[in-house]
Amino acid sequence: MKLIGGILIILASSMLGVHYSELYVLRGKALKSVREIITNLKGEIRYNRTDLIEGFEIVSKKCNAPYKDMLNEVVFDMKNTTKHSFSDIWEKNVNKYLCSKGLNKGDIEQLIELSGKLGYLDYEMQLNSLEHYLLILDRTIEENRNDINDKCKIIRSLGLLIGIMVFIVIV
Amino acid sequence: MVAKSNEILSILPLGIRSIFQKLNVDYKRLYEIRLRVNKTLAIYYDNREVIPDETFIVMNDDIRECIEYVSNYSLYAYEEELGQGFITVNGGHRVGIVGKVVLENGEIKTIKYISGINIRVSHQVYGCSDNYIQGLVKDSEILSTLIISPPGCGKTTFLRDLIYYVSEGNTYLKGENVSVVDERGELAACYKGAASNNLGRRTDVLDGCPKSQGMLMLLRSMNPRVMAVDEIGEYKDIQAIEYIANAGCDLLCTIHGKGINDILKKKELENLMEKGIFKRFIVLKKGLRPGIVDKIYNEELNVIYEADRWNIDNFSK
Repeated sequence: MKLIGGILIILASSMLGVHYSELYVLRGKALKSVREIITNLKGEIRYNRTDLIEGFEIVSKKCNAPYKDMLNEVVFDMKNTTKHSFSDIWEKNVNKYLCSKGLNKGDIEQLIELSGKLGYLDYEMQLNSLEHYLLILDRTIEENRNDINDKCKIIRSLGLLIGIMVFIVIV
Repeated sequence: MVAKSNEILSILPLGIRSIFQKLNVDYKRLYEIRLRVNKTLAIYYDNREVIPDETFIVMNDDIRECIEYVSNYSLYAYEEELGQGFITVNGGHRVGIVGKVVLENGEIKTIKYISGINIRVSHQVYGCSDNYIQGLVKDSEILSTLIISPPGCGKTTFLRDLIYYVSEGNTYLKGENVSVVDERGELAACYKGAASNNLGRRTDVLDGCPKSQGMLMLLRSMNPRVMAVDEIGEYKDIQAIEYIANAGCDLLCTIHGKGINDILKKKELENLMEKGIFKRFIVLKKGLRPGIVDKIYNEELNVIYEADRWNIDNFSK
């Protein structure tokens, strides 16, 4: 019985390690999705000079849930002018749809901050703001990629080792 | 299609929207909504000024909020329109803006410190030109017509209705292919390419294009029988009109002016008048509804319609 219990502990502990390392992978995917949205939006603004409503409408058709749902609700709120400012609408929907989808607190804050720079001033300012955000995003994606390589191995190994350690103590 | 009430309410700041929602507004009778910083809200209803709430003072935040809604939270996408002093919104309603003008290389770049907004509600009044078409037709074809009036008398409304009849055809004329250059988006009120107003089944609309360039583009691309443009006046517009007329198209145009004498005094129009490009001149007057005709002149400037009476003898001259 002790042996079976110990093996279960090792398995659970290893799975925990795998789970935490997967969070980095999930974050990487989420960051890439956000990058794709912003790149498409920038393209729409640069090529067609579309406003934000039309831009989000077009971009939403090219992405999957939860990003599609988020953009659709942003468009709905903007069309129905339910909030005073674009920032309020953006913040509400980012928090509603993206908080538990792999992005960490810093990523969410950066994404919300972007809304403060969108919509007002001129065309050049829009493109510069999006370009600047994309640069930050690229850096974050790169850092996360390094984390996947380094930290993920450590976390997985740690999970296994803790499990073995507990097994030894118990047995 | 979005109801007119929704089109208007969705661009009003929330404070003003709640005032409108308490009022029993018939949007067909609403012509203007004026927001001026630190002043009361004014609306023009049945062509009379009404103050809906004496205690409500329009603040800077209301103006800012309204601009956010008018520009779809994307002021950058309306730079060119801001430079002209107005933005046309969904439904063809024109939102005029005043404030501090920002110049760049002598050209108007934008307007900052916006202090006043005038929302002019667009109305498609079907049939306002119906009674006058018989005087604008020869051998079942429309004659080139210039519609003249001061602002607010319904030039655009009248032209829109005329385009509809020429395109659809009726007892007096057969349906023709009409091309419209809708530089300010008021005639067809296109929203994302689709016309909000009905200009008839044979009408092609070039939206947001400068008139002079648009007329030449449409002549080459759409082979129109009739060309329609709103608010002509610049030299390049007049040159394009001459070119179009020489190509065999008839024209439907509007111009600002109090009457035919105003038009005769305009230097830019000298050539057009000498060449007799326009065969009919319609002068509109202010009334309870837009598009009330005061007089109609033929190409020799004889009155063919006045005070609800036709002078048929002058028709064929």
